[in-house]
Amino acid sequence: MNEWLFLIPGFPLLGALLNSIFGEHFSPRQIGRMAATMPFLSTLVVFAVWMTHGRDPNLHEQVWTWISVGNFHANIGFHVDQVTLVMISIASFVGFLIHLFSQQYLNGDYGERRYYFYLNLFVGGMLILTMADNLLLLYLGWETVGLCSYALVAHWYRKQENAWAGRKAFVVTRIGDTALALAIFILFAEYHTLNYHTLFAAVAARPDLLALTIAGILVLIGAVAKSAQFPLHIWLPDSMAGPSTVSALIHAATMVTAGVYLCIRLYPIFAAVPGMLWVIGLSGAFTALYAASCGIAQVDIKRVLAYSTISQLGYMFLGVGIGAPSLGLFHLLVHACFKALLFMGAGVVILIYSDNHDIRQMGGLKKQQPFLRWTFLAGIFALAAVPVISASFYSKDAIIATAFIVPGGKLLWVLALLGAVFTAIYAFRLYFLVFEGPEKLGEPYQMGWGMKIPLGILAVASIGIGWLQFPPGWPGPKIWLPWLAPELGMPPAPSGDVNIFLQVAGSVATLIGIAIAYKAAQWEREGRGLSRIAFLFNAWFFDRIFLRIFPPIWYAFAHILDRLIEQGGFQLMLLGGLRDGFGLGSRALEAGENGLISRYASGMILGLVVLLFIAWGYLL
Amino acid sequence: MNASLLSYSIWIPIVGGLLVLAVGDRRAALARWLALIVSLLAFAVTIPLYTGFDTHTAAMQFSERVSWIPSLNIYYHLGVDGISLWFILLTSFLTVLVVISSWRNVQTRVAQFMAAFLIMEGMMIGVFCALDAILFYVFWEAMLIPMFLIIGVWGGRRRVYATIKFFLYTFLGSVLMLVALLYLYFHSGNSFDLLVYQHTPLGMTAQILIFIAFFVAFAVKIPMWPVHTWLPDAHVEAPTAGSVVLAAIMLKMGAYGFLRLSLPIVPDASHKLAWLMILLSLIAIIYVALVAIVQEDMKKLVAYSSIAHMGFVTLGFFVFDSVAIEGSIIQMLSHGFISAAMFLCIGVLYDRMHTRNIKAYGGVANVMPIFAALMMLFAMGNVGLPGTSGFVGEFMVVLGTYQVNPWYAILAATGLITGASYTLWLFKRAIFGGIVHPEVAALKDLDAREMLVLGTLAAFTLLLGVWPAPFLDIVHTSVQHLVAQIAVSKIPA
Repeated sequence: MNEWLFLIPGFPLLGALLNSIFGEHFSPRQIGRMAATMPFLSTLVVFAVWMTHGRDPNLHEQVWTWISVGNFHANIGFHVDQVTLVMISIASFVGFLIHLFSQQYLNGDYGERRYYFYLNLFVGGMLILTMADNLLLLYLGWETVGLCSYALVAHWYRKQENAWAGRKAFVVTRIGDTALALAIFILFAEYHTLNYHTLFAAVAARPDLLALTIAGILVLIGAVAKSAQFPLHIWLPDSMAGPSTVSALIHAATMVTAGVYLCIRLYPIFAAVPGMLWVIGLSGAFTALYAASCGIAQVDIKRVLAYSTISQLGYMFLGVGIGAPSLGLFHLLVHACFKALLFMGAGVVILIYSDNHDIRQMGGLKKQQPFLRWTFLAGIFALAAVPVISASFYSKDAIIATAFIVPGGKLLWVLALLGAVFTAIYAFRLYFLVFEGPEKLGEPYQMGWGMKIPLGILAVASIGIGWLQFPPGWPGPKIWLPWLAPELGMPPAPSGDVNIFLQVAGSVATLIGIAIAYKAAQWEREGRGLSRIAFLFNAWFFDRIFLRIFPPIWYAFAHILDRLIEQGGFQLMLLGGLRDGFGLGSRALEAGENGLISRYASGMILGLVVLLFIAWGYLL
Repeated sequence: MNASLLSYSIWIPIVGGLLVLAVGDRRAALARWLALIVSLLAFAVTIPLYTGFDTHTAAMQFSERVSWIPSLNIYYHLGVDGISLWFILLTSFLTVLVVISSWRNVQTRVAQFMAAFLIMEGMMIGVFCALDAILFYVFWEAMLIPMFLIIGVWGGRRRVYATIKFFLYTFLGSVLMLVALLYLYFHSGNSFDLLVYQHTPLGMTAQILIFIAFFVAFAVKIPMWPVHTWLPDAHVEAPTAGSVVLAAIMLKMGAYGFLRLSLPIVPDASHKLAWLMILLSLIAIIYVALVAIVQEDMKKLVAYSSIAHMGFVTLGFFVFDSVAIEGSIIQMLSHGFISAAMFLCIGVLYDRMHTRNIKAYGGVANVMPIFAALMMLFAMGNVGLPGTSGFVGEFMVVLGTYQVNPWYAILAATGLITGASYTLWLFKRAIFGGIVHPEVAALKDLDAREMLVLGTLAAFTLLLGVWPAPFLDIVHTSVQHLVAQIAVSKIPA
């Protein structure tokens, strides 16, 4: 199996390549089918990995040497273990479902070929990111998916704000990327390797606390930016400008989880620094609460889901932070299923209401779209973590419960539990407003099989995938944690009365939230809903403040440099004193150019004189 | 054949250029075809340099040494090592693309135009393989003349201004270099051999003076802050092909000069003044990138971007680390491809719209999807996205720098953010968006000729990005040798 690993990212990349070279000779429909085939083939290979090595995967393939100079070596090499196997299963299979869904959804759009090119490239990049056996190759995947996110957010580029949103996403995440790059430099300078395996061995043998702390913080900044965690989350709500399928794939199921994946992957580094994990947990718990509180006041269907994604990713970070990375990964899997489902469902809702995103102008859709309603409801159940019959109950509530029992976790538990109430509120508020209540007719829309199959599969998963790991003290299968234990260890688990208390608390939080949501939807229809709370509606005004401060300062500064130094300083440095001595040019030229040349020349000479003086000073 | 390969590389384009000139502007079609044939031939003779190159030695290869002016001990002395080889190939390769890209958009004085590029090609290759100081200086100065003419004759509205500025800067710089070379001549016992200079002991004062003289010549060429202001003007006024050669090759001359002259001849001064060089490099990376953000003229924006990218190159040199220096060389090559492509992309737009003002565009992707896709690739290369050549060079430079001084690396790394900011800003305003101006609606997508040129550059950008090994293999031994050389003091005991 080892030597076939390259096929997993290889197929989607091949699809992108074929598309870019031969695409113009085929119809958009043919391109779409070809593009969808590629992640399907990847899925088959991943399935083969499951069949042959699923129990305890430990596969490795070295493809070629990427950069090798001096003592620095970076390979194009792939590695598959438990964590990676989960990630590539999501990326390839959910990726395939979204490709399938896109066939009808994007039909007749402009730029279908471009869309499928970037979608294929994205899946390839995501697979490289998760399969890389070293940090540099991870970084390649990391940047590739960032590029695809940029291009796909800006897919409907004719609207300036879409192009703007794409650029915002890219630049904000690039701040994190740069931090990650610096972390890579530090780790290499300290340990002379970027390969995970040897790196962790070196870290264990010789933990350099200072280097690890700085590297850990930088990695965390990278992860926070990529996974849209507070305060670098500001790009994600605007990224909803892209097609809903893109939101489903990139901004829900895969790319935004890369930050969580990175933290799980580099867990040994975080664990080596005291207090570091708690910071991750706090960041996650706070973001979970913050974004959920923003979610309850949104009226744009996709922005509700965007804040929801930020919040849910917070829970995953919390899972990592409390020493339960395997639960974080569990929730990552569950979230990928239900959030992809919800985004695709929202895409259909938006089509039905002729591109209107405002949930206050929707309602009663359950009659017209029964299939959509039931699948969407399954996703809502999972999002709100309805007890027993939704997957999140087994993943998210487990994280919250575990937070309670770890040292320093009480505060995190409070934040997370409060977040869970808000989560149930926005989830069901969304559902009630769109599918229940008085019917507001949209355009009739017939979903084909290509749409129903993905929604159906994901709906089943949203309900049932949690049954892989029942809570402690319950009868039922407990497969997930033991399977991951060789790699991630067993997380602490509550027991006895505390266990019962925690499970009840989690369930009650959800039920309270649903009850509030029912009223909230009614208020909203009456025009006095949560959306009128400006503080929450504007996400605590954070984005606005950010945009008011940083870009204007940035541009003003750049303008000042340009005007004063580039155009002014270099010309005004000398007022023509040297002009005559230099005997430059003809009168005609002087007249034509306003004597600028001589001033430039003088300026240059002055610059050189200054440099010479600096050097002279050094000599004496 | 092998023995005089370098001479062929230099003189085939020059003689061919003269032939093209003889054809005359009246027979434009013939001149074009002849120029293409000459450039292809010139490219073909440089290929054996690569295939026959021995990567295990740092010694000069394909050497030629003939007495030229015996009374002054001047030789016609040529040779290549791993440092210069790629630049010769880059020059001959890009000249072919330049000839193809100018096929239709140059209609006045076609033969002269093509001839200027071919002659310039020969001279630039001459700079990269000259091992005699006077020969080096002659090529160094002579290559400027075709470039003056290209900007001055085929340039934009303010071409005279730009030409004079270009001339003043580069000429003034070169004069000091000549003085330094003459000093070395007398000091080394009447030799003009650059390889001899590398072993000539020099006191610190002399070293520093020589370093400054070289620095002035090379810094202007690269260009380094604060002697960079000629470049945006020259780029803005130059015709597309001129900008391509200027950015892709001529800027590399200065950097090459540092590697071939400054570092090995005056290593102690290089070490002593490294702080200044690093400071100027960091200013280029940070400050110039900021200035780039507010440019309204596409060419100016890319010109400033070039200066910022060359900042990485000089930064890599002066941390004296082999990873960083190899990274610098890769960055130079990469910039050769990407800046050439960026200027060609702007040229494609300029040919159709006759303006470089970003505001006049917007929504180009609607009507030129293939162009937009290719330009996206180059923009990403410019941003330094992994998988493109831009990443490998910058990464290696910053990695090498980090091991020497983390703070320099952190400051340089901010260039990754600003680079993304200005490049995407350009892309968003020019390429994305709805069509605002009716002229944009009438644009036609790339024709086969333009696709060929840009597609070739795209292929190299990706190749160097994912598989830099063949490029690094050539460079490696020579850089190791250089690093060892500059670690040894030349101050007489």
